[in-house]
Amino acid sequence: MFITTFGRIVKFGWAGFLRNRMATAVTVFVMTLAVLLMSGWFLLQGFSQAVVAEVENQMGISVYFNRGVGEAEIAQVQSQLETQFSSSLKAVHYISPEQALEEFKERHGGEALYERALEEAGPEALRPSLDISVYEEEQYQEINDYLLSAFPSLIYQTDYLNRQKVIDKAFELIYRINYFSLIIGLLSVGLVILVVFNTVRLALYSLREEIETMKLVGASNWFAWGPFVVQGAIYGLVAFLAANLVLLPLAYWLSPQLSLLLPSFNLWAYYQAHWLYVVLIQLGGSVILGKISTFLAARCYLKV
Amino acid sequence: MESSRYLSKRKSGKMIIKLENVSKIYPPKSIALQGLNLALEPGEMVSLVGRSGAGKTTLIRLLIGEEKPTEGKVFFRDYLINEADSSTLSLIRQKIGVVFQDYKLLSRKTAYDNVAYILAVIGASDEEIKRDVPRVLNVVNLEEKAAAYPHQLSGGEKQRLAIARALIHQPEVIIADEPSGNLDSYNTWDIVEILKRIHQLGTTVIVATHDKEVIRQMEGRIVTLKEGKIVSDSQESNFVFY
Repeated sequence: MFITTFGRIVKFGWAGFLRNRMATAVTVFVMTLAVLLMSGWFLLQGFSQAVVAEVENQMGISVYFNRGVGEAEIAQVQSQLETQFSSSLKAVHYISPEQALEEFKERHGGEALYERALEEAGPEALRPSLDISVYEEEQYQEINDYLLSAFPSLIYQTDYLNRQKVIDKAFELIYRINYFSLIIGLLSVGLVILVVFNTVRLALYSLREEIETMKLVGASNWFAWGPFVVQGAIYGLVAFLAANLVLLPLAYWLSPQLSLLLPSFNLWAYYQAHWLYVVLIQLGGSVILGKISTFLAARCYLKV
Repeated sequence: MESSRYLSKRKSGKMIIKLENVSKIYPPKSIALQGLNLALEPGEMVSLVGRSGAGKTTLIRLLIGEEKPTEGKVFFRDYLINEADSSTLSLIRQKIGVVFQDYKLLSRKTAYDNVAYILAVIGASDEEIKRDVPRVLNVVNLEEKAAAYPHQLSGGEKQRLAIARALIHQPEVIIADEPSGNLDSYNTWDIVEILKRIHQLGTTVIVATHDKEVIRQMEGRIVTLKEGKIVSDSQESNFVFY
């Protein structure tokens, strides 16, 4: 009995989907846009995370040691630093004077001014240093103070004060990106719910008399609105397929363009790595939203 | 009439429909029904008569739970309709076949599907639907219009389809609201004959009408409404409009 009834509800829902082609086309179109909006938001999240990671990687402070401070002493400093700030340190790298020189040459090779300055300062111009990065911006100040007070005889200087403004700006940018992304996400979800709900409600408005009649001839609420809920789920499923027909080629095409802008971000790879989330968001947003919208819209006409 | 299998058996004893001191007032102060007391036995044929606005349609709406009375109680068998929840109301409606004044056919379904829908509602099997729908369409002479949509049918055909839909699930009661509305005399005669045959085979039939010709053709009890009150209740066909 239950299976027969359920089968009929699905059948009626499918028939309803096929019947009013104009309303179906409009609803599917709107829901496809909604799915695209949600998917776009998810991919934007990926992009903004990559931007954040890129900015974070560029941040940190360098501690320069006095000439003559040996590698063993610096390793000692590094070890104590890692013990003292074990939970907050992201990475500590030792840069020897030779490495620093190599990097300097790489960065400024062919630039006459820098080459002359290096010649004048001599081969030992560059000092050994530690490059330090942490998870929280506030910890830079703490680490800087600790190093200067614990190892005053070893440390020549830190560049914390020079970098402080850059660090502050970078963290502000990260905060804004996250905030903006959250706002966009919430707005798009709200917009999607509103638009889909109203589109479905309009599509069902013309059927309100039929729903009332179904109730008056003895159909239970479940039997009367069930087909519309199924119809809503089918809208969502078709919208999901249509959105992916657009999204997949678009992501594939956009991927190299975005990589030019942000080399560490590969949109296509991100899409592939997160396809399950994308599908869940799309299906959740379309099928479930379609079902809930039709359920709520149909309920308005079930009061008979 | 092809067979009696669509028609309920006459039940004895308990009242099938009972109204106790029922009033219906539409806001702000429009009185549709006032202090109505009425009891119908199973198998009765009742004509609810009265001029337009007398309260016939309101009474029918109360009987199928489409509206609730402002005061009083409306019973179908042991069910108190005005306090029934949604699922109970569905069960009650499945025991009552209604021929609505405006037919209320499902415009996006064919004649066949309109009738089949009722069987689907009560959970009949596909085999039963395939077997019973053509038979009942045959009863109302619509077997050749099975694939037609309501807008492709004439007024008389729509009315007969509405009767087929009301009849298909063998309800205990059939209620027809102005069954002759907008029909010519030939179609009216057809409809009345079908309702009489349904009654003769044991189903309780309630016909609300203001059509004197219909009232003359119908047999049985005549309940006359005027301004929301019952002003006469008799078995005589020699009635007068109040």
